[in-house]
Amino acid sequence: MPSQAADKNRPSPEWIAEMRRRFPCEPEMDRVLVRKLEQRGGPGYSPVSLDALKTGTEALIRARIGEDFTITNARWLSGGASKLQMVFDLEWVDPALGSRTTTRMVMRMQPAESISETSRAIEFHAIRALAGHIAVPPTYWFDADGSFLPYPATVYGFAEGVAKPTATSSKVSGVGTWIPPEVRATLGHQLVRDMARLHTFDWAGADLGVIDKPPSGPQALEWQLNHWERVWTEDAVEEIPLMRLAMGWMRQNIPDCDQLSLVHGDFRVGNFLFTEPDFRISAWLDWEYAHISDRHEDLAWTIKTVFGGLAEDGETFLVGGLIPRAEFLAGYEAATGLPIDQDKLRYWDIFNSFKSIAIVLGTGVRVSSLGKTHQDVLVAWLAGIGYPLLEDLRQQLEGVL
Amino acid sequence: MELRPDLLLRAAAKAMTDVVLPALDTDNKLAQEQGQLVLASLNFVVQRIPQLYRFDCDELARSVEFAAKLGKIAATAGAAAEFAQPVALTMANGTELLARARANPAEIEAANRDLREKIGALVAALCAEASAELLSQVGRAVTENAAEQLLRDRSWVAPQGWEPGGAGLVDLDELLAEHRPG
Repeated sequence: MPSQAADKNRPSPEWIAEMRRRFPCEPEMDRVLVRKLEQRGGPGYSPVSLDALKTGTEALIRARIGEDFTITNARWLSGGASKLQMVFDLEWVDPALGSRTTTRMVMRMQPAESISETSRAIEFHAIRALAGHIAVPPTYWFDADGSFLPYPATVYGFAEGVAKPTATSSKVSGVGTWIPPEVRATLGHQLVRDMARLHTFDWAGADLGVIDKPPSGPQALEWQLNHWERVWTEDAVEEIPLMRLAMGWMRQNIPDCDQLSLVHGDFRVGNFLFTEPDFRISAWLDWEYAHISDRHEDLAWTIKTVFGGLAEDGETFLVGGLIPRAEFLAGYEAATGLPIDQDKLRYWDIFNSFKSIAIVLGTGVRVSSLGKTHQDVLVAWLAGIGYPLLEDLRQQLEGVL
Repeated sequence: MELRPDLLLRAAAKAMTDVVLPALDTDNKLAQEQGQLVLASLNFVVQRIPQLYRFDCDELARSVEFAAKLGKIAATAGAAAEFAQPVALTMANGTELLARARANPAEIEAANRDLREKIGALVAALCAEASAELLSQVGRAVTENAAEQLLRDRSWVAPQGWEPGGAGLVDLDELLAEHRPG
């Protein structure tokens, strides 16, 4: 546990070193978490003008390709709880085409401190590795530490599509989207197909950049446990003994892993775009949580109750509001040839609950109380979902203790 | 409990300052004026909420002193007895309430957080070292405590609508009445 004198709002170098020692994790995530703590005592988020974002983006692009480009039509793009987004047209010589063209792009920048602190480099390298394997937006450049923009950022190609059907409704941040029945099967089967493609991707032979390749399953899981216990310890405004119990149980019951996969970490409805009216998935987004892990981590996340809903019969649970749970899991096994272990699903469900709670009740409360984000009112509001999530976690633990 | 009024109020005030007010039509004077008043009201409440309880206690303490002083004058004068008696009764109630209202709410909040921190450390240590049997005992104690606390936490955020239908939720006043101080 942190020493009593620890002031999490102004962490000392000694306390930061203690966190690193107690919770070793992937080097890139370690860098990101250290940066977070080192900057925590600094100013909150101040509004950034569109002009400032355009100027910063120009500086980034200039550093990467030189002077021969023009940015036009810069405007805000909404969506998500964690990043600011600007869409713009870039007139340039695209090396892939070898000719002058105009490409629509998106600049995605984190605020001073986000509801979940993640790596732009991980995001960039995951997408780059997966291009051509599943639908992802093209990635162009990233600013790992805010050298050109006010804060770290990534520049993507603009992906056409919508995150939810035009005729639908959802709660904040895409959670609990209701999908019309006539669309469900088409999107549901693509959900299974894309998860299968991701989890059978040959990551060992791919260039993953900063994404570390753990030497073993237990090592991969230990990094994840350390990562999220560290986040909870660094960010929680008040301690929750149930979280410590959950972590204690997870550490004592680490499951074996028959095959490591590249996982998305937030694979759900709301994080892919699809075109209308044909309902084809055009791009999977938000790769910032990508890492090497057990496939059950993604599976347990995707089938979480909070991301789905009941069909009109009031009984059938639809994964992501799209496809019956049993059909989803059977389809996945058929598409991958990989078995789904119910015990592992239960373990990773507990892990995912811990992670979700650490994000909304730990980091979210901390950063919104410090005025660190561009939408503190949303981030603070989201803390409320932490209590139903804790109740889920309590019931999950009662089932395994 | 993390979702405290001051957290939401501060965030709402920042949203007004950074996003909402700059987006208002500059020609809409009524919207401009009321937007500024909303912001000022939020900032006022943020500033005064932590002092509200102490303000009321301070006022009650001075009112009790004042009532006692005035009661003596009335008794000496032998006048207005029918008005003096209700004051004496109400003053006694106020005195009794003040005797119970010792702790500052901020101290209660700090004590809660301190105790949570210490308990969390103990749970983590027990989980790391305990036998399966002891872990089971610790687990039962933690989950039983969490069940009661989460009932209150979930009821606290019920107006946000995270649990449609509110199945399993209990009225917050009813829950809090179980541990009324005093």
